[in-house]
Amino acid sequence: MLAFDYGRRATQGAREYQEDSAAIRAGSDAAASAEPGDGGADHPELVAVLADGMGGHTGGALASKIICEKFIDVFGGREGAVAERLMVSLTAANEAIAGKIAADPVLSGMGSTIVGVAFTGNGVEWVSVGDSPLLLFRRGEVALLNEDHSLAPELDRLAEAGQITREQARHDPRRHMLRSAVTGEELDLIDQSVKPLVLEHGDYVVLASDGLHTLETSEIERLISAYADDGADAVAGALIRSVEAMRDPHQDNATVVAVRARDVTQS
Amino acid sequence: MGQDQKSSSGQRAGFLGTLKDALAAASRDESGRPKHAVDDADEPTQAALGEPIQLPPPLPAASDAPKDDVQIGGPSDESASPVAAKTIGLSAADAAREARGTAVVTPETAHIEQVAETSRASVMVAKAEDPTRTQLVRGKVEVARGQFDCDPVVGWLVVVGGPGIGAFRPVYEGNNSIGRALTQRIPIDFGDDAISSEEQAYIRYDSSDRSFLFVPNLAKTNVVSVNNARPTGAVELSAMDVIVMGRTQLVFVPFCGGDFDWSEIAENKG
Repeated sequence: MLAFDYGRRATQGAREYQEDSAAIRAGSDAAASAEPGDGGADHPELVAVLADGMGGHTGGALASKIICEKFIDVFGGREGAVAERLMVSLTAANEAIAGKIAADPVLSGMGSTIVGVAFTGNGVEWVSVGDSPLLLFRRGEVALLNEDHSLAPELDRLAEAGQITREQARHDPRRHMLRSAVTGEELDLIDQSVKPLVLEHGDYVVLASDGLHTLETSEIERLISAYADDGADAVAGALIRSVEAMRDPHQDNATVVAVRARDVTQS
Repeated sequence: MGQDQKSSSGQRAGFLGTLKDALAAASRDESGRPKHAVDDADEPTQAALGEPIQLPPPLPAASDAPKDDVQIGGPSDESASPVAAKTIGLSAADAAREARGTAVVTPETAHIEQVAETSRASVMVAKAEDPTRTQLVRGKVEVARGQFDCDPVVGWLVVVGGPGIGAFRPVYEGNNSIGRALTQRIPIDFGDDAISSEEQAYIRYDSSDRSFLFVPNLAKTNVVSVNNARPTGAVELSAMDVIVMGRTQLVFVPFCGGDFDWSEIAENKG
């Protein structure tokens, strides 16, 4: 039987505000308010959500916080198929933003990405809006699970089509702009797993905000490989330390939630 | 060797195909995984030729290296990893592909026109104070009408000749003083000192009859002209009229007029 442990770390980078939020709930035991860096014991089920907020001074931080809390709350309070619970939780999170903006129009324009992930005995299922990457680490390799709703894929496509140079695509500031986000309006694009991804012993699933892109994929693979045996908290810590070590003067907020799948019947 | 197959799936696989290539390139030498043909080998022909690939496999969605570079990567033997063969597990990329399926939920037609997207995005970039911040380019923005945070624009002056060529200045409702100083409602501050610093002329927009008037300030010694005439009093401005002051040529572009005025939306929908 697989069980999950998790770790969460964040860095503010070079920004004035921390606009990322993340929350984790293990089974019925609410860990939504867990402090960064908390480790998790082996849990048979987990739900984790990460949001990268945007919109003005406090708006971004507020939006991502509301979304994480609402998502975790609604997901935990429902029965039924995981995929449906994920969608219902997403919708509720979006409506929570709409309600907040309606109550306080100054917050108009705030929003957030979201990647919400459920870990059950069936595997991993997710729902995602925006560009916060959801990564699967397996046997030294990393693959992106969710779809990127930023303009980066479009720019790469333009570069491939020869309409702009690769150099232009690489440095275009529009890479960070989103085609879809949770803003309280109708959701333009939603990425959802089609069926549960069955995990193996030793797999890691990493939720991150796009600040993690400071690291090359090969570096992420190397780091997770190196810390895999030390547990999810060590992996999360290593990733964030490495982002901080890059000392990018424009470093965006970076947050990771690492979840390890472990066969507890083996050990 | 799978690399001779050059199956059409190489293009269809999108980033997952290239990611798989990159993953294989990064790890094949160390792992010594066997390189045998697989059902959908999608690497280019030269893929499995000896030399180790130094290129780090980028995260396809947002890392810096473009895909074409990645495609020179090694064989994409998804079933070739020795570990994978033993455990009959899927590789990370294959597991990802399976869980993703092919369908993505798209409430509306998801794909975005290249041109439309680019132009819209560029407008957003111009307004963004920090383009690396997370921002939204798409989606409906709540429309509030009836109250303005700044004066509503009713037209523009575009500099077509002289210092500042290519720039523009907004024309606002009511009376607009034109001059070199920044205190002017329409500052033509591009370094043409043949323009009076203050109140060289005025442009007035009257929303009751939706007309634009150009009014020279005859107390100033510098001369202005509209369409090569030297007005001694107010003249009505229409679209694409050319105003010359000092060594600067300006073209007038109205926004409000017969077709539109701010009062329309303020009254009807506000």
